[in-house]
Amino acid sequence: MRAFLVGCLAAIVIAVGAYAVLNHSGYVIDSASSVFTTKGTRL
Amino acid sequence: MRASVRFLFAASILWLAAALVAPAYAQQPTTVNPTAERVQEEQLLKALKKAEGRGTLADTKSQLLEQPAGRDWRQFQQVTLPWIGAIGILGMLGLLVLFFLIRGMIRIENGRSGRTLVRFNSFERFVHWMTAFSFIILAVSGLNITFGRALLTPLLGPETFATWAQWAKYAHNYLSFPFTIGVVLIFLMWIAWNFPSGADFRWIREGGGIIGNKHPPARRFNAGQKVIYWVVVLGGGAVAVTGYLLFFPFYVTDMAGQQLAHLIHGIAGLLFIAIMLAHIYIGTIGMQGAFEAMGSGEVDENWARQHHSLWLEKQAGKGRGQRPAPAE
Repeated sequence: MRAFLVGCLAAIVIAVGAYAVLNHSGYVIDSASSVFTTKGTRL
Repeated sequence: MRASVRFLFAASILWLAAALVAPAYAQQPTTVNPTAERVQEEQLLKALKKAEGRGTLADTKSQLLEQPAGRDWRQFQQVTLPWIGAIGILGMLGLLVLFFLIRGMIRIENGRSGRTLVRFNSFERFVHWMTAFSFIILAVSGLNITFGRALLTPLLGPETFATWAQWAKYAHNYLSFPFTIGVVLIFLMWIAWNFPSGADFRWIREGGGIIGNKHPPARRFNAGQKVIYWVVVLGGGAVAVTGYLLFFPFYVTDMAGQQLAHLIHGIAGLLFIAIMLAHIYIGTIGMQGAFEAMGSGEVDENWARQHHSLWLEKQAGKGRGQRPAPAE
């Protein structure tokens, strides 16, 4: 079951990494509230 | 002098009369019919498909005041989509329970041989589980978006539900990345074995060994597994693409595109969940020996002969597999 554990861990690492990159880049991460925003800018 | 006094008196009377008459005139019924205006608005909406104003915000989308397509989308989101999900998922669960009660677990007919062969290597299993783990969280958090408020708020209360829903949404957004990577890797990794072949038609005709007691020959993947593969690749691809359109709103599409993306994402996601329930069933309690393929990566030779005889012959021809099972 090593592949199972490594697979789950990899998914979490990729997800956290994506969060860090997008958050750091200043992208509006809350898409629900960004309906009336311009690209990457919170109004 | 008397003439000028008479003139001033007459002018005053006229001014007074005008002052008295003007309000009375203003209170007369107007010629504008509000109902008729409403009719015009409806006609305009039908003709233009939207009503737009002008504003000072940089984002011109905020100037869109009304669009009939928005009502259709709301109806879909609040009524149609939950019905599709409920029928698809509960219907599939019902079928699987019924099938299990009638057929039970599909056993290895000749028992275990004690010899095993490698079915999936470490990398294949890693990709499968990375995708599966992401999918399960995506499915639960996605179902929460459609059904959570109605089903969980009475149990959890609004504040607890709001906290849970916020975390679920973050998980839904960011686990999309490992899921998408997994779908791409699955597509590349197994494409060579997932084109239709003649054996698939026979497999389908004979019920795939699932319905009835025949065990039609199959290659590495039988027709049922090929269906699952293409559901993952095409369905997973559809939910990924539409999901990113929603995650990064208005980068690629306009408002109508966002609504269409949501429609496709919702339908494809819910049907994807329903079909994956069947995959999970057959890979666990539905078939003896199936889970080992993704667990240890090795399957029993008799299991392979029963379900994938053409693949077993090919592996034997290559001199692979058929080694004693490890001692327990």
